[in-house]
Amino acid sequence: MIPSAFRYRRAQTVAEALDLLRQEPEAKLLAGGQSLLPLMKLRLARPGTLVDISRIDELRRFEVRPDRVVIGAMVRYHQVLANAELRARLPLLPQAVAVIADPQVRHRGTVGGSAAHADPASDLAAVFLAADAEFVLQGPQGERRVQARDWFLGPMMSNLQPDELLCRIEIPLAWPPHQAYLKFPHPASGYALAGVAALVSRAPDGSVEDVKVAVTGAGQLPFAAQGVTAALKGQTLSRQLMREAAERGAADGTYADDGPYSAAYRQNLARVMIERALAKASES
Amino acid sequence: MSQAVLGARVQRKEDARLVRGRGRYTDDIRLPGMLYAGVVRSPYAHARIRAIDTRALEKLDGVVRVYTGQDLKGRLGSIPTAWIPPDSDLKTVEHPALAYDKVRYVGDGVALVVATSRGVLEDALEAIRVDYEPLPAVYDQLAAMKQGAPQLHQDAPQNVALHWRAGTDTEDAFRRADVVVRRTFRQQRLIPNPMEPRCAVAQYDEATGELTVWATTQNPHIHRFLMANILGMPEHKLRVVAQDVGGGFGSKIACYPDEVLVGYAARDLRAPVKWTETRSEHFLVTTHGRDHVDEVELAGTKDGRILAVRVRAYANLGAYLSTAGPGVPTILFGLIVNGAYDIEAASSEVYGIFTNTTPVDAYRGAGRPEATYLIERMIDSYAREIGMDPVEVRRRNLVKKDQFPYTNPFGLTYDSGDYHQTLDLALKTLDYDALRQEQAALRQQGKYLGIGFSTYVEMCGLGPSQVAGAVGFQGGLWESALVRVHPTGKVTVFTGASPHGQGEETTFAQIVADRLGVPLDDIEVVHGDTDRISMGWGTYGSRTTAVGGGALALAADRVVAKAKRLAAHMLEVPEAAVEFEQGRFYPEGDRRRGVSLQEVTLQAYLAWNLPSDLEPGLEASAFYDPTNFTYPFGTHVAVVSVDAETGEVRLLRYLAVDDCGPVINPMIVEGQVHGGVVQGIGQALFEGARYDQDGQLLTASFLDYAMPKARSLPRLETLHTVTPSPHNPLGVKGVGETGTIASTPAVVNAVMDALSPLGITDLPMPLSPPVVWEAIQAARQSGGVS
Repeated sequence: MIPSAFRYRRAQTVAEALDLLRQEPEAKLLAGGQSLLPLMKLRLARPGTLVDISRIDELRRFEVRPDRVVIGAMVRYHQVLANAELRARLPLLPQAVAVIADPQVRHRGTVGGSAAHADPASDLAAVFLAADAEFVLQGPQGERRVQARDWFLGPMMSNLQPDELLCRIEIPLAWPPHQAYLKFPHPASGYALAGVAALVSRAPDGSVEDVKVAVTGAGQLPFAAQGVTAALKGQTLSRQLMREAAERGAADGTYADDGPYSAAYRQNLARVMIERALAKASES
Repeated sequence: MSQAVLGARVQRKEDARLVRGRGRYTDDIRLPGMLYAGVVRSPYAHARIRAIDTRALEKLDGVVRVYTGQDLKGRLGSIPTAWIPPDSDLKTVEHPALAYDKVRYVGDGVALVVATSRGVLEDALEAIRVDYEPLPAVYDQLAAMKQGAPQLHQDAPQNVALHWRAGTDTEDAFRRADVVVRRTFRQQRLIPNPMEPRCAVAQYDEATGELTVWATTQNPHIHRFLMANILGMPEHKLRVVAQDVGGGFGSKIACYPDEVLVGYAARDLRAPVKWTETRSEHFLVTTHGRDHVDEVELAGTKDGRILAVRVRAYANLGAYLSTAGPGVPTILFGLIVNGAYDIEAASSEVYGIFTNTTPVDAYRGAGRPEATYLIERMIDSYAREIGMDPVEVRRRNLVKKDQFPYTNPFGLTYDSGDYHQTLDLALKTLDYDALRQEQAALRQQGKYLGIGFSTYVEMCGLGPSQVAGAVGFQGGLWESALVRVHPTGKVTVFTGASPHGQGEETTFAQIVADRLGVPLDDIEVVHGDTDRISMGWGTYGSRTTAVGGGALALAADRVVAKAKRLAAHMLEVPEAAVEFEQGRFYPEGDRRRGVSLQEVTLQAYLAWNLPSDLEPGLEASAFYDPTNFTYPFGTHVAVVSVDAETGEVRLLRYLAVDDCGPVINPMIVEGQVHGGVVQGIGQALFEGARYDQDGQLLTASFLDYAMPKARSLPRLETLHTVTPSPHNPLGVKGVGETGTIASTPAVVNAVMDALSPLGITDLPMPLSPPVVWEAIQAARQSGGVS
């Protein structure tokens, strides 16, 4: 439970952090440390240098603008939970954050750290995909913007390059508050066995103007359940229809057996949770 | 005062320090010049050790010493088991503290490293290269018994460690039966996880030749007894201390290689040495629990009368025999498989089997949960077979109030009970008929509600020493107590039991406060130190209050008896004419005159004017050996719903009606019931160790091993009836394990009841969402009613 030896450097600016990333051998950025430090203590991660970015002011920006929310990479989960405006404008996000781990983790862990870590069962992955988050990176070549659909490249592998820093995440505030995040936690780890983010907007006649659903945990990677959108857009919601949409949406994922959880079980769970999240979002 | 204190919801005295982080755990010990030890552990379940290369350590600053198995061979005794069941042909195989030729499970130690800091230590543990020749491994007990299976120990052919039988002939009953129900149950391996992992610190005093070992143990005197032998040192030069211990649940009974190694290194290096288990290590090397395959047969009449039950059990003992390992699946299991039921014929046959897995030992309930699971699941299976309400089957077969003391087919004598009363109270509290109606209505809507019962009895309060000897336990099971009243009237109580979270610092103070009539705050309970307490057998088997408390009551009474003689002298009346009430002595019928215990105590110590035949001082000890076990009992009920779409089981209600005799502290008893019930629910729904074909533990951390969590539990309802045990001074029976024993089958019975419309009769624990969902899918596909 003691990490192997490493150097510790604290960056005061984004530019300095990028320099350190380039100069230090096997450098790794340290944000909230809630995933990286346990891995280091188990010696599953052995960075040569930790570059602490927690004091960089720019990364602590947190603004709810008329059209979007801007979340600096160092914004901690509990700050998201405490933001009343966000609860009104993008309730999906605090709903998801509220079920991440435990209060200790929520006071240390950061939104950016979770995004960069790219755990395929992270709750926020579903939110990023459903709400079309945009990741703003800084690297040696300057700024780069990556859409959520291009972010999750593999398990624990995001689009972030080793010499880049995730500065902030921007999420458009384009949806009415018919939103829900529903999670079926793994009984041991508490990670999502299936976590579903659902956003619904209704036309004046009550039919579905648009709907977006994304699933985390169940599949090998978090995915947008586009089948749901295809099945429901323009339709009037019914239980039967939501069931069919959930079926099609779950089919968008790729599933694998994992211990006691067979691929068939995981896909079923994705379907059930999509259906329930749709029902909850449309009722909200 | 005395009426108030016994049975009062007194807040736990120990919590003042524990909840404020002021507890003193073993790992809190820091000694000048202390070194840190760690064990290089096998990554293979079964392998020959070819060579150990420690050259890389030469480059590391701060490595003090490395010991390999070869270094210690012949210098340390084998780690023994302390339970040798009679007529079981137990193979007491060698268990070296460090393996020197072969490793037999993942985690088996091959070298000990001692370093100046934990950081250096962990670098050193990684740097050592061990050359292994992997051997085929076997983790499953049935596979291990097969011809051609990998052999763990030369002296144990086909890996059979023991073969034990008990009970009566059952053939006749089976011939007469209308109905025979046969089932095979797997009771999965559990991994106990107390909040505090294990730890040991040792310090050797060169001047006196004394070795002190602070260790996370439930039984320091047993540790001293065993370690003196293993280390080859005189018992009186070895001191074992259990400071605050953060839970054990049985996993801190065993004498492990680790504390032996630390003691050895401290003596050898003439420096204090500490070893602290990591949680990852804990999963691999601290003893596991359960792991049975049980074939059960029940013979009954079609009108609900059970004639006989017989069990053949295959118990996985792991790679070596742990301290109590052989006794758990035999004596603590096989003698009580008839449960709380009056069954004329019953028999048990047990195979204990070596496998390439972590040694298995006691885990909360130890053998009795396994036995209770079988009979309670069989009752429900039988009830379904004959189309009778499982409550009615229980009612017809439970031992009746007028049958006590009741001798079961294995010769155990159940001390006292009113089993039907707990069942009736549970049914009334639940409004059972209404619940069944609700269930029927929900079934109409395709919803699955289930009600499950467990009417259990437990044998605990271990136990009469004569019986301990007869069943092969290599120790006594009496308990010691010393009550010392100091000159000012303050009291120190020394107990040989070793509570580690159960709250006896409080309940024992309550017992003494009641007997002596002194304020609770004037009483200090001391435990867990072989230098301060002459002898004791520790805390396990729900024995502490029944046996340790009994010793305490006797010792306190002896103090009062002596004080009474002095009081008579002071009051100038005959001793027979002295009354003692609420801490004061009075002449019979005269409340105007009187002396307090405190005043008498002071005179006892001053000794200016004692009766000629009275010695100065005021203290008394007692060594109490019970004449029987105690048999708490009760009725537990679980009400569950099953989400057919996800397979998730939700507990809607959980009701525990327990009878543990008189309750000394209702709050502590509730806490014990809550914790016990939750651990049993853990086995039913969440927990279970899994291994791969190579013997690698797949559930080796909290990421994969599911402990029960608050979010998955309902509010627990607890009720009590009170039937005193007739044979111990306090009438108390013990309540530390009842919850765990009762709740597993109650929950599984409830789930099977919920799924009965689908024709599902049994599922393997834990009843996790995929297990339940796949069973529902299979049942629907095979045309079961949906």
